[in-house]
Amino acid sequence: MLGRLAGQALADRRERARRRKQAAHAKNLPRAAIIFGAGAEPGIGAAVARRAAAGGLRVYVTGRSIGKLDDTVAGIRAAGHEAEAVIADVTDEAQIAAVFDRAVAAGYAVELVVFNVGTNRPGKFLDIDPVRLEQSWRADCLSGFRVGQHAVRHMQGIGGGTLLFTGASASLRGRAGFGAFASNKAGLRSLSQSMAREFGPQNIHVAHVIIDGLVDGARLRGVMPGLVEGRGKDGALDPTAVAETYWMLHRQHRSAWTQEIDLRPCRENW
Amino acid sequence: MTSAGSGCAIVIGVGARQGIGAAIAVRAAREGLHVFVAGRTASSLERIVRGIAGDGGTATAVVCDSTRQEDLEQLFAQVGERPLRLVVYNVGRNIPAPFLQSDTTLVEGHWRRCVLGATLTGQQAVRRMLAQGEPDGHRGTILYTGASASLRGKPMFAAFAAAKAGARAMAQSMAREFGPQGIHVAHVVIDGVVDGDIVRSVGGPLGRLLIRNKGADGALLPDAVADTFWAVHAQQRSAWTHEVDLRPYAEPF
Repeated sequence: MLGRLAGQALADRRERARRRKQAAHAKNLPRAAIIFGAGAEPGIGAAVARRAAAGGLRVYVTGRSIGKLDDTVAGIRAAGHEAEAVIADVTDEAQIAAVFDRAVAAGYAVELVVFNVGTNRPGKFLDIDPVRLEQSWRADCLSGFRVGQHAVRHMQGIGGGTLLFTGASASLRGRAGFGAFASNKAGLRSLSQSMAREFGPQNIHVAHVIIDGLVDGARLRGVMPGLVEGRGKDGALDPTAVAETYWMLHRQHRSAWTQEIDLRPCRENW
Repeated sequence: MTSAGSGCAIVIGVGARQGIGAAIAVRAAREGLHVFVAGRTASSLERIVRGIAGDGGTATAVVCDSTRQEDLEQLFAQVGERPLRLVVYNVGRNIPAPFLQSDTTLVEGHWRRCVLGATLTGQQAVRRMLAQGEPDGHRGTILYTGASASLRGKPMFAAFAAAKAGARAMAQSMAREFGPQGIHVAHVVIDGVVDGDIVRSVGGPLGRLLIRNKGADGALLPDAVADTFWAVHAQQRSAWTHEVDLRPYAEPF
């Protein structure tokens, strides 16, 4: 028993020494960000990608459809910054790993990871189909665990970093007809909180941003034309303004880190 | 964001040179606002005003008891015709006391500093901001300093927690009422020990030891806290924060 404990302690010490060595090496590496869920332009993922690129990071823009990613990357490059599009389905762990591998192979330390995944598909409670419920949970919540694990392992090796999760009003409360989405988002929020408590002391800043309102993005304009205009000026969240707060969180001094912050339009009824 | 740095600010609850109130005052002055620095002790306020002047900014010291309506009226009257862009209410100090020994004076004292003062300050600020223009649709910002106790009660914190929770609810109600009119009301939850003069002066060497034991960046640095206060003030109105928490990276919570 004692021998095993001593063995474990020794292994832990070696592991810490290995990480310190790695982190010291990583200090000199160029820095990158990975944005998961940067599909639609304009949208939060794309705007955060632009902000991070403007802040000096090489940005890996990931999503499911290459056409949309290419638009975002082209915009960032046109502004004189660095970006690369990577197709990745976050429900497939191998594809998550491949994005990190790509950044590492190119010699980058990924100091910012943004998990901006999740689709609100309202539905009456009695109509919730278990198979589709599980699919949505895999896509919106389980994928957060997987991305989180890859991000933490990478950041432990480079001495720290920031992991930001996009939340929603539904992260805090379930509304009639939103049971599936709300349970996925509540799960993701709890995950982010547990990760923050576990990895803050290791210099990894995990924060959860609650988007409490309509986003003036391609998705909403596509699904419900006219809705954004009906809200009046600044009545829906401008992705560029949202991205400013994501970037602010990443830049916070570690003596005063935020775990949770909400964002909503000034005129929002909440 | 263009409006963030012109006009003036009022910071209530300024005392220690190394403290949240002072750090916000210094930051606001650096961003170009004239700052009315309000607190109970003239000498402390004057030292901070001199610091701001030395830094190239401008500020006015105003001695003020934030629980007294007359004091607050006089403070806000000093603003004159200048646009009031930012008001910070940074009042309320934790005085631990067992529940059974929390007498009316103690309970009422906390309530006056946390809830009543926040309300009276909010009323003065809202009235003035509603009467002024709204560059970019943003008339002004009112920020409240909260604490861990704003969200949960703990033994020895009953009276303080009840008062802080009350102030939080007041701020939330204000945000919902005045957001649509261009007034940004936000509540910043400070969840940890602040590396400032107040804690450092506690119990002889005890406060200093407490901070040292937390390690590098283990206690909140006032300047880092002020960065987030300013970031919230500078937000574009399509994406305003009402509540944000702040704690040191290594804080168990």
